[in-house]
Amino acid sequence: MLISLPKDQLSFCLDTVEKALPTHSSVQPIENILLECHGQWLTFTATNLEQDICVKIPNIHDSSGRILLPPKIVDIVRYLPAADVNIEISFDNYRIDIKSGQSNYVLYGADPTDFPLTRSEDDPESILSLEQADFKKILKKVVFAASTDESRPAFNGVLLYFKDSQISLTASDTYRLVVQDLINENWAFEEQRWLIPAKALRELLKIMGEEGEITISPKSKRVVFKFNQVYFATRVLEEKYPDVRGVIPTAFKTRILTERKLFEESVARAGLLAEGINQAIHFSIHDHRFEVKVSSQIGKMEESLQCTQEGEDVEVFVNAKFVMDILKVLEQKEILIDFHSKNGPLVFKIPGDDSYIYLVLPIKME
Amino acid sequence: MAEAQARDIILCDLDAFFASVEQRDHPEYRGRPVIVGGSASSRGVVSTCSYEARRFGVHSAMPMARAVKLCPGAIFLPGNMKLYRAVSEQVMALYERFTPDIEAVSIDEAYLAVPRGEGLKTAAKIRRAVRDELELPLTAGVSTNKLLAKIACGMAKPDGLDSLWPEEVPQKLWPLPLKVLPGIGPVSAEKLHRVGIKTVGDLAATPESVLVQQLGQAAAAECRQHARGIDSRPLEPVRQAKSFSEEQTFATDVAGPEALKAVLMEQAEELGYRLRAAGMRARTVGLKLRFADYTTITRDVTLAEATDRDSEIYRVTVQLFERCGGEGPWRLAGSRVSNLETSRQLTIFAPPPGAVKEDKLGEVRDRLRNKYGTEVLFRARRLAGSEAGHRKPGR
Repeated sequence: MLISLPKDQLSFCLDTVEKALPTHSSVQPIENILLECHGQWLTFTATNLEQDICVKIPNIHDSSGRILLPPKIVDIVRYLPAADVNIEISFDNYRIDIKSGQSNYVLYGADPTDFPLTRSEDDPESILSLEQADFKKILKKVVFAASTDESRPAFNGVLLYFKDSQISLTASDTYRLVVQDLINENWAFEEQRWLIPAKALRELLKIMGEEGEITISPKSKRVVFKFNQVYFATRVLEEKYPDVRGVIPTAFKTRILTERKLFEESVARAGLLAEGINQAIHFSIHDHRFEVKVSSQIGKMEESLQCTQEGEDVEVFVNAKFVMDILKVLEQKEILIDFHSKNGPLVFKIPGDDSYIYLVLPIKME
Repeated sequence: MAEAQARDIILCDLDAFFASVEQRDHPEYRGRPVIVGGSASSRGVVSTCSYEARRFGVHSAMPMARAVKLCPGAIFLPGNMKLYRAVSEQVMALYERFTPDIEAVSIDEAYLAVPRGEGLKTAAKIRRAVRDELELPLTAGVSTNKLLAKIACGMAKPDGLDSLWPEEVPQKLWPLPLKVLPGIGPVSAEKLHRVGIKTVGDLAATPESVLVQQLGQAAAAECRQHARGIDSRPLEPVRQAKSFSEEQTFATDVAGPEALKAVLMEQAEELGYRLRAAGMRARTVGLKLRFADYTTITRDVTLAEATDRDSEIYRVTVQLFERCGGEGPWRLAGSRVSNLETSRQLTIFAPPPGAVKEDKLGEVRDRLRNKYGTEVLFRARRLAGSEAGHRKPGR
């Protein structure tokens, strides 16, 4: 069977499914990429048993069949010399001949019989459809706060809670917490909650495009995202997500409004001297001055920013990285921070937008 | 070394520090003997006394009961460590304006290094600043090494400034009695007196072989160096403790695991106390065991979250003991905490009620221990440790 297609298109397919290739696995077939040729379509699939990614593109070819492609093919295609690629596949002995420009590869494919295919044609209907660009922005503001430490699996997930006309996304690593609410009068969700691995969402962020819609279809233990020609499925976490909203304070003791970009640069400079696991830097707010300081074994620095202050003066120590994380993902000109004394949380908000909060617990100096 | 030689060393010593702070904050104490320390009824000792009290023969480390007898009219105070520590920090911050090279020796003493030739001038400025800004008396000794700066400081006390340069050693240092040298205590001085060595000059002139007989090899060499005003110790800038450890070699080997665990509990309580006193928490907890045949093992575990709790340290050392402790008898058991942190990232979850209870218990025990200088409260598990011999609870 002969397939001809532009190198860019083939690369897109392989680069996308590569995100689901297992780094190491005891199940041999899944170390490969499944290629299915059916009718007018080519489908590439990879899985690590937690996530499956498929890309389906239209292509005219002369026969049908299935084959496992070795993972090396991803890099091989990336480095091919010409803009077009011809692939000749023999489904009898799984031989793959790749020709591009003056370059000829022969790869040894494998029998696809044992490749676990979890994808099914009867995927449930989507419950939500959003612009990819919007969804990307939302995920960027949420996913970073989820934990990568596997000792508390619930916090490896981002909670999606649907009810009536609202969706709430929650992520936390126990030191900080993000809550993003989305409201749309046209929505009418049945109450449901899905705990999606943050790892999957980080991969999703890498492969989503800027144009077109993305649909979300949850089903028993899986959630499927569909966009462009991509089908992205992930297992959901079954852990119970603790009730974290209770920690969000309703009143503040100190509130400041300051310029986000200047603040970000200041924290970046202070962070250079922060050390140890806690990366502590010091905020001191008094008389409409916002001082950013740090003192460590390496040395010390301080600088001050303009801010408008409401409420009492406050001094607090906080992890520089936790602060940078939020300042980097926001695009607004100004940021609002509520303080609750020296051992209470810092709550970051976007001025005029009640739908998003980022809460960080401070560092207690002994 | 070239760099070290190019600098002057200043020893700054706050005179009768705790008592001076009290006299500063309470004008009614000024000019009167002030004695800060434990209480006479609980066998406390004097930690600091003002110069007025010293005239009555009171000195630090003296039993309080004796101080009361010598100077019954004194003002006796239990002391306020929190305040003294805060004042000490102010003083250190003041030193930092003059030089970044500071070695804090204790709460009231620090060595400072400044460029060669600026020692006396800087020391005078520091004394003035401490007097003007903090209203505290300070004595400074200046030289080119720590030993001579320390001796100069001793000569200048109280509230004075003096220098002792290496070239002045023969005239200024040699006529002085042996006790001016750090490291020569009453016992060594007595030994040397017996062979006719009475002054620092005598010591400098004595052949090393004679000193070796009296003091042993290492001490002899050091004493002779010191008598000649030579000291190569570098300035060691503020260093945080990197670990705390406790170990015990048993008078007779311990055979039973329960007795060994009791020792581990005692060590956990001690390490917990030291961590809390230093305001630190440890991420790594380790165990050291020596078996009857002298085989020694050390094992450690790094925790997800740093701790200063006795029970957590004990839980880990016992777990290590059960995993790697093998069969007794054991000759030695040691516990160690390292990977120390001075700050704690708070979490959105309140700590479990058990932990809060233990923190409160730890606080009460630490307070009692600070007050009585010895443990008055301990965990019952340690009673099983009587087999392990010394350091029974309630000692």
